[in-house]
Amino acid sequence: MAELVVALAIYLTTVAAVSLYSRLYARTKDPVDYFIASRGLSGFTSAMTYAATTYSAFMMVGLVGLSYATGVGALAFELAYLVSTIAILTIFGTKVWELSRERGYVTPTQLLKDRLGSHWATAVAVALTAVALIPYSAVQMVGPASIIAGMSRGSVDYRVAVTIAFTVTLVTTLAAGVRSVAWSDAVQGLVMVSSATAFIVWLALRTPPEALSRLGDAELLSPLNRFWTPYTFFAYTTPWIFFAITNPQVFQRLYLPRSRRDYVRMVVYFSIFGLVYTVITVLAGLLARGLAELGALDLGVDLRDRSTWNRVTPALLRYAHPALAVAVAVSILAAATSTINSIVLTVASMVSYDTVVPERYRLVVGKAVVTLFSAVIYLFALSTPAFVVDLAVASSTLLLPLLPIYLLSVYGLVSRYAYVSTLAAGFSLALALTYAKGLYLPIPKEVLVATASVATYVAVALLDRAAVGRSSQ
Amino acid sequence: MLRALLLVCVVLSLALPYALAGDRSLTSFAVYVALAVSTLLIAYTYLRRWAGFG
Repeated sequence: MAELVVALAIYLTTVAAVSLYSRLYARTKDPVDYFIASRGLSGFTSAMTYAATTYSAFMMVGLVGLSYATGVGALAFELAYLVSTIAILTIFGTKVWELSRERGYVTPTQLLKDRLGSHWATAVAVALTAVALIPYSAVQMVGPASIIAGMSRGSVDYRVAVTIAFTVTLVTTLAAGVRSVAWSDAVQGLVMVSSATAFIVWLALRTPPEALSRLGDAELLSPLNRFWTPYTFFAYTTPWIFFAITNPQVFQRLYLPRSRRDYVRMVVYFSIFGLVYTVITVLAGLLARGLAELGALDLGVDLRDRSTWNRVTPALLRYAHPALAVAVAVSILAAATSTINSIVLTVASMVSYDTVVPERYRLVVGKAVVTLFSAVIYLFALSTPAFVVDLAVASSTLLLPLLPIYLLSVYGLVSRYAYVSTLAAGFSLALALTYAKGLYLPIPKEVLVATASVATYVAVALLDRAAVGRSSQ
Repeated sequence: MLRALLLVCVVLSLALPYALAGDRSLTSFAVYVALAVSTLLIAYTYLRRWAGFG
């Protein structure tokens, strides 16, 4: 498929050109500039990198398939995430932005180090984050690479597609750090939303009005149905509504806007992007299902087999004009790489600043870690061992113990004992529940981990505070 | 007040599936989009004051 090869070449060239151009604005020997652009990004660039980092290949592949199979409950789940993220960015994020300037934070874990006064405690959080996010990044590469390999009918091998994602990750992170990541994210975000818009317009023009009544008949317009029970809804939603706090790659983006005005713009532009992108992807799944119910499309999806739900988008692209199909496929790859490069850079910054690395080696170690993590992700994506897939699925739950730690530290409830016990209890519980397959709990494991982590942190912190108060009397 | 309203929006986003269960039209779709837009408008009002241009 010559169109695909040309589109991939244009994509790679554009991302590389933008990344290298951004170097002209970078202070290349300054680690603060490398990791957080000296806290000097515009509202628009901050918003686009926030959106492109948050919204991964899951949207155009996973969410379209989920909407197709389960209906409008997928919108309820994804918009619950957006609503809570807007609230977090407004109430909590503004405080974090102010603190990052007052105290000179570069990484999310630096905030913890500052509050707790312990280097070793925060190094544990760095390790936990890497364990959760590196496998997640590797699995992110698999879906888009498979779609591109499938579409090309042999002209682009799966390994070539993974190599392209790896190259984009390396170029965007090494060129000028977060500046090149953010600028290339802005380009990739525009590719994501514009191709998604063209995709939904094409699909809507094909869909007759009677498709909607078929969706109603199949219980797909009700947010609760046979799939979306309250249990499933809260299992899906709980990790996502706290995503802006627990995931360091988005947390660190709160440090980037250069002024309060730019922070406001970041929140507003991100919210508009999120709303548009979410509505488009859910609508795409619903319209495709309506067309399939009418017999107008044969997508080869078995609704009883969840592993086939991700085939909806690639199967739909077979019906689209080649130019549109190629644009959507490249946008899915862009969504994946714009998430992976941010994760790699954030984890590298945490290793550089919050472990035992001496100050003068921060930049060189950061770049070495970026290269090492990118290579590990690349190798995991090529082989996808079972433990990597397990950890990727569990990543959002594994990060939930960080919720009370970040949230309550910012608001002044700080205790080293609470921190250590929450990490130990929450992470062990999350890991145990991940591997305890077949175990039925009366409440979703995600809710259990979040509740246990908050309860542990608050209880131990209050006990610690009481003990300190008693000893000082 | 605005912070409280934002928290109400979050609670509503979690409670609405119960209220809209059984819907067979596009009402749920419209209500969720309206909730997201309302949340954004409340957040914008709060942020304008915080940034000093409201």
